[in-house]
Amino acid sequence: MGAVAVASFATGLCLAQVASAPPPSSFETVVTAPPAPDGASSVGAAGANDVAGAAGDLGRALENAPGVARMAPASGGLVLWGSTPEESRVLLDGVEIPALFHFGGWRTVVPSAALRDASVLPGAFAASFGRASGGIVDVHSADADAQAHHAQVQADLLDASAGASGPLGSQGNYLGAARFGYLNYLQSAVTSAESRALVPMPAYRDGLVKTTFDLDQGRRLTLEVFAASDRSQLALAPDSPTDALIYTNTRSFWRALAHFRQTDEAGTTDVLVFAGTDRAQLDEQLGLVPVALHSETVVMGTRIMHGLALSGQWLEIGLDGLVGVWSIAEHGSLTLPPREGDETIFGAPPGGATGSDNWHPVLGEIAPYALADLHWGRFALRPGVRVADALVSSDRTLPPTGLTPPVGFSRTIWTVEPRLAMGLAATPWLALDAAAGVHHQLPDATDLSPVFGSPSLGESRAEDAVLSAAMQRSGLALATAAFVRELTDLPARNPNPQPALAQELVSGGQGRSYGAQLAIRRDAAPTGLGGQLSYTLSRSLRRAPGESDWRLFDYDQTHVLAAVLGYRARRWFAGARLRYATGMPRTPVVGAYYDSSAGEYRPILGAQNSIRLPAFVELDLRAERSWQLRSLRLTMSLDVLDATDHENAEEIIYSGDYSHHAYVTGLPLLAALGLRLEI
Amino acid sequence: MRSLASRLLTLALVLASGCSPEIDRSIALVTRPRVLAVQAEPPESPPGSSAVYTALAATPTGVQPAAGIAWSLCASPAQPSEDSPVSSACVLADAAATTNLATGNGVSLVTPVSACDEFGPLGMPTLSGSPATQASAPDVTGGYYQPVRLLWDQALSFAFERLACPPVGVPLDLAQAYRAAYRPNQNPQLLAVSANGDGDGAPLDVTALAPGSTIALTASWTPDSAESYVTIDVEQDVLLTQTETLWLAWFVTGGQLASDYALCPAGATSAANRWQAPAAPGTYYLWTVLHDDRGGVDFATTSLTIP
Repeated sequence: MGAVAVASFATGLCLAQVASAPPPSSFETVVTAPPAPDGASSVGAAGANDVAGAAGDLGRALENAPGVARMAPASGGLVLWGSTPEESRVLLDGVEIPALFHFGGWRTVVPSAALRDASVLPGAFAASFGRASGGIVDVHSADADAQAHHAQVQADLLDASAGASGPLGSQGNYLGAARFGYLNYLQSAVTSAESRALVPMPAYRDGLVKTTFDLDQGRRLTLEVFAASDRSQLALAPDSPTDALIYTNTRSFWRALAHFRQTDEAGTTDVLVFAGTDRAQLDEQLGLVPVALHSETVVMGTRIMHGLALSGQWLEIGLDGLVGVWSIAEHGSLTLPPREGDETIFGAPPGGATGSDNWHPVLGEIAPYALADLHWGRFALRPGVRVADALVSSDRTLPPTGLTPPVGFSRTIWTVEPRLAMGLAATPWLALDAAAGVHHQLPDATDLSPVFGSPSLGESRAEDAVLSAAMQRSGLALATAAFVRELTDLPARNPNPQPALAQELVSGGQGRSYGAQLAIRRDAAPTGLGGQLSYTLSRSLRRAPGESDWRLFDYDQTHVLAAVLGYRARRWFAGARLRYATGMPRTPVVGAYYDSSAGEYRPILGAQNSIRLPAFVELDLRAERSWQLRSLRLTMSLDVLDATDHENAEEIIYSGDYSHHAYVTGLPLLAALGLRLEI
Repeated sequence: MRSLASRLLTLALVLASGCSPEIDRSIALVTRPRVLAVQAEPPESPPGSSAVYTALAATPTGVQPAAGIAWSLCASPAQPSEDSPVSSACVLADAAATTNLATGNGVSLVTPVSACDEFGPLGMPTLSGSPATQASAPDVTGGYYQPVRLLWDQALSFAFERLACPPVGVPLDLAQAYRAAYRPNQNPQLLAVSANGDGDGAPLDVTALAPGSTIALTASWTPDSAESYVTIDVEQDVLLTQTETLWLAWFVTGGQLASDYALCPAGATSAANRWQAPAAPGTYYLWTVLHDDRGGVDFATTSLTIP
């Protein structure tokens, strides 16, 4: 029973540790990370199958980790220690990818059959990671069985997937998996055109192919390609001039990587190179106001690491480089899509101001780093430093003015990011740790427009500190941590009514998060009762440039509790998950005025984020039964989401004149049957 | 079976997308005194010139003269962080954010001479050495607007006077071509609102309608209500010719409208609707408001009587 396991402290060594792990005997691998007290958590593929409500999805299982706030509906990422999903980075086998989840937030962007484990590092992570003022989500693909062939097909309400793995020649192995989301096709087949127009069903697909060759003398070469695509479409019959008429959102990306590893007495050397492209297109028509944001990106990067074990001490140097070449075109509303801190009211019409721009930024960073894991008896010291040289350039400094040739800019930003952690094995079952670090994040390329953002945006900065303790006795593991994060130079809307030219955004935003988290876990391996209790108490604040008062972060949740319980027998499993989370902040509507030109009421707002949605409470159930038929194994699962049919408020919706309100509620009771066949 | 499967899956899909509660988003039913539209004549004017503003002041008992409407002008635009065409300071009537001008209906207001600086493409003048300020952003028609504040019977409304501002940041010859080609906006013109039988289309006597009956409504307007106008494509430095989009809003004091709003296709000169008359006898009022997307407005009032 491995709901979410507390993970290794030495997060900087994840790449090396994972890659050197012995090949598993099948697709399912249980991660048995040692208990460690740095606030990080991990979950393995088998563990995800044991989480009710996650439907076997690794990313969804990570939602139960301490330090992770409940995801907003349809959001594409995790909120870690008071940072937005955009402030965190998602890595798959060491390669940055644009999102953890497909549209809708139901599935991770990689087929479950191809994944081995995923870790969430909310902050204060090691020097081998960077470019994130929030946290790191570190996902690893499975290793194929080099001895025998395996195949797997799986289907449920959302999608179907297939995968295979096995030996390739005498020294290699392969792994391949693909998934096809078909909910939108089912919808087309059996529902009316009217319902298809009203209900946005995300269409998604993804796949991963990986081959690994064990060369001689401890050398290994891995070649891997993965890709994912999403599409979501909506068309509403308008009740008013400013209702959404059209909404189309598409996203796709692929990456190809080569990973070479050599392990010998001199240490371990990793060389990872990768390339890929991202494409995203958002098109909306809100009454008469259009929104169009199209971007294409070519991404290339490398991670090089050499680690050396000397008398029980670990020394590591590395180089982490990434460059993205963007082509972006945006047209329409200046305030959509909304960003953190925007006072948006669900269903309210946007302001009518529009703009148009196309720009071609280049963002890159080359960051050498060094870290060590030093032990003296029961004491451990883990210093690290990362020196980043970032490039920020684009072809526009000012809004487009006719055929006047644009004037571009290019600047480099040097940052030094010290990281330090200390550990004390106080007793054989109790470990104490402290960690702190400085992190920087490059501006988002879509924020560098002189019309919609600002080319002068700099890097945002985070300072994290965490104090933690972990203990393990009698099959029970407990990890607790207290954390604080200070964010500065965050991009934010310019508070000036008439900002300087090309200064729609400025770098003066601030953030502050602090809190404590607790995880208690009992493993059920291989059978028996197991479970995990995770609780996070936190407060996350943001402050706009020039403001003296702090406001609540858009995703702030004071209490986040997840209790996962499961009983596994030889052929069957039954489990439950109970989640509670404080409702997310919202800005109250204190009145309304009539916009006679738009023919709509517009809200008059109270203090920003001064009210909350009602608390979220949900009980999910999962049952699984497997049958062994010679070499075939058939597994049938049933997930029941929101088993108590509790109506969880996800948003406030107002009457046309804003005199009344009600709540848009999320998933009520929903049952999903799944089948998995393995050979 | 297909029908049952369809229903079940539709239900599942709706549930999966979240559930929207029953809440009335319609604003078509007039149950208290409200301003439904404001017509400025002319609807587009240069700074320093005047326009006459007439509010369509509706109540459950018909149109009111609304002599008590207090008019003022917003003095500064909204901040970029305010997703609104009006600054919160002007909404809250901060003394420095508004200029009180007149009381009544059909008032004449002078657009401030600095309107193209404050709300238009010019941007605020800066001291020597200070960075240039970012001008206000136009709407999809390339227009800039001076917000006009109305307070009537404790109900707050805003109208927007389109500003005739000179083009900025374009070559001189293009600016001259724009000035020569651009025609300031004119208000659209409603011709008639008619009531007919829902089935046979026969004209109805609006002073003797059957209770509970369904009445076909048709609003028509002049063909030149949707005007052509030029805008500047600032990325290509060329003039573009566009045609206004018209849309129609319906308001009523009782009964049920089939649709509150209609986006009019290009070339259309009429729009249809249906009204379910109430069972209770009385005189009901129907207001039809025709908008163009450059801020022009026309409106008509129709009384519908159930003996």
